[in-house]
Amino acid sequence: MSGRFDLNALQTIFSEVLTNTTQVFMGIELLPCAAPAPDADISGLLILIGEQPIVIRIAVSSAAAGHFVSLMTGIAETELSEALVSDGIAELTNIVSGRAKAIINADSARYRLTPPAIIEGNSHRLLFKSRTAGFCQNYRSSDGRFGLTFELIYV
Amino acid sequence: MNEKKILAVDDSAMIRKIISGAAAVLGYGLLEAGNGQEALVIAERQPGAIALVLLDINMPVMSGLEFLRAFRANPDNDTIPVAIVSTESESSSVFAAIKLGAQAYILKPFSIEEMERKIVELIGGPEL
Amino acid sequence: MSSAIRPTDDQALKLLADFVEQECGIYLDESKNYLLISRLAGMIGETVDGSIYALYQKLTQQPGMALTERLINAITTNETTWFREQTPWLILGEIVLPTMITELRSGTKLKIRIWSAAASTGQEIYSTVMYIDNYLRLNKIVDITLNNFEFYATDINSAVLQVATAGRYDAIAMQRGFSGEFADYRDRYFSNSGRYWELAANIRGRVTFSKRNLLEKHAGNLFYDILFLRYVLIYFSETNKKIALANLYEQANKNAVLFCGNSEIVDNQINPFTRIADSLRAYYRKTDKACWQV
Repeated sequence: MSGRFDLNALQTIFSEVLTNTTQVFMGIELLPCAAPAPDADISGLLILIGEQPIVIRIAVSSAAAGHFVSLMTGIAETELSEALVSDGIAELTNIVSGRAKAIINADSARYRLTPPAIIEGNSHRLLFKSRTAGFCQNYRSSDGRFGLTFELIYV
Repeated sequence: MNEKKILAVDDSAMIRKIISGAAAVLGYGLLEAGNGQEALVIAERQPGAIALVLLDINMPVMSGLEFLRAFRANPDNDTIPVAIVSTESESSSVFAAIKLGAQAYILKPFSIEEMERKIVELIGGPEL
Repeated sequence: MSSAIRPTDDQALKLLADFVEQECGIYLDESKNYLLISRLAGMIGETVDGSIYALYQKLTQQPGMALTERLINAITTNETTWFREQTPWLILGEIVLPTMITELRSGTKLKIRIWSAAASTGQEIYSTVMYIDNYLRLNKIVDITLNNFEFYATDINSAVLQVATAGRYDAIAMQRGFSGEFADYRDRYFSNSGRYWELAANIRGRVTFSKRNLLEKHAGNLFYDILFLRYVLIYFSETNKKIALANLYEQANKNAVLFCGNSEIVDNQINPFTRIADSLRAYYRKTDKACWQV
């Protein structure tokens, strides 16, 4: 990206990194879909700090979180602890953000990332007063069973 | 049984869990630390047990690079390879890790096959 | 050494990226520099001064398969699954095995030789052994057994072959691919020791693993009937693709079947095998005449 960040370029980078990460880490393909966002029970959050701070959010239902973390660890969904599920979603968000940051930083821009945070709560929402623009895409796993919401919020 | 162990240093319990599976397949035990400081304590208490350190960079309390500096300051650890396992992939981070004595760099996300391959390349594979 | 003309890290990285493209056929633009640096970190660390330029010099000034092999190794991810993609298993079950079993029965063939040419941790070749074992069982074939088949698997990386030979897999690997018609294969062919899953010895013991660079001519005199070359050509330049395919072609029996990855396009400019495709799937055969003008 040259000069000020480019919204479209940023979306492309994050989308590619997200689908690549889930492919390598979960062994499944995530496909963009037009369906409404599933309930968000767990959100992984990081903030990309630089010229334009950006909140990065991956939100999933608790069922999807269990399924995804099971795929990432090989542990059966029924045997996963809540702590490991939260940690898994946080780490997934962390990896996607870290990879994207490395690509963005390959150019002159210099961004830093906060450590990941987790928000838990059945059907929670995240509202930013100063929100200016953003990008939100829902995905479904290729078997059609589980959804994931990916969001970039420019604050 | 005096089995050799892999020390997984990562603040993510999930990453440590993934590494534990790879270690088991290859016939290694696992020691776990959630940050650099915990890892240093383990390294001091179990001299001779550690065959390989798999090290995250960004961790609370003590980062991977700080751990590496302290770990390499002890000559007893000279022969223990360290592989960085991180999303941190800017050249500055990679070079800092190499200069501090890391032998390999595994980018997250990694496939389980890639993790197993790297471990075998660094310390050998399962006894058949 | 004069430091005046020494390139900066950025310039050296560009040189290295060009070299990787030339040697491995992987084009990495500047936004992927991070990938190159981290994957080559180990090799960079082994150079005299731990710099990118030193690695570039080493690679270009000491040309030799060993370094290039390590370069390819460093860039590949070895990602694989059990029963990857449906095509090979459909084609084997519907077309290839019935014909080859007839040939075994008539004595036109004594053995069917199968070669997985980029074996990684063994899932592809072991899937094939299990598939054929299951095929014989389901079709109640008793005069032909696994003893009529020979299984070979090669990889450029000896570390993955060690993992493959052990036939032990962790829970993550065991979660990938055992679905649909393959759902019961896991319990049928593996035992779970608690720490890992182990493939049954009567399947594991059938495969011969060896290290092999597909770009080098092979001195052996084995000829194969079923060949797998999936998701490996993507790492090669056009020239090297052609060399690898020619080497495979030379070691393929007449009518041998070659499977490439579903999303890989291996056209006749570089591929001597004949493409056989319907609307859903494609595979390749060694026909009487090589498709390219050799």
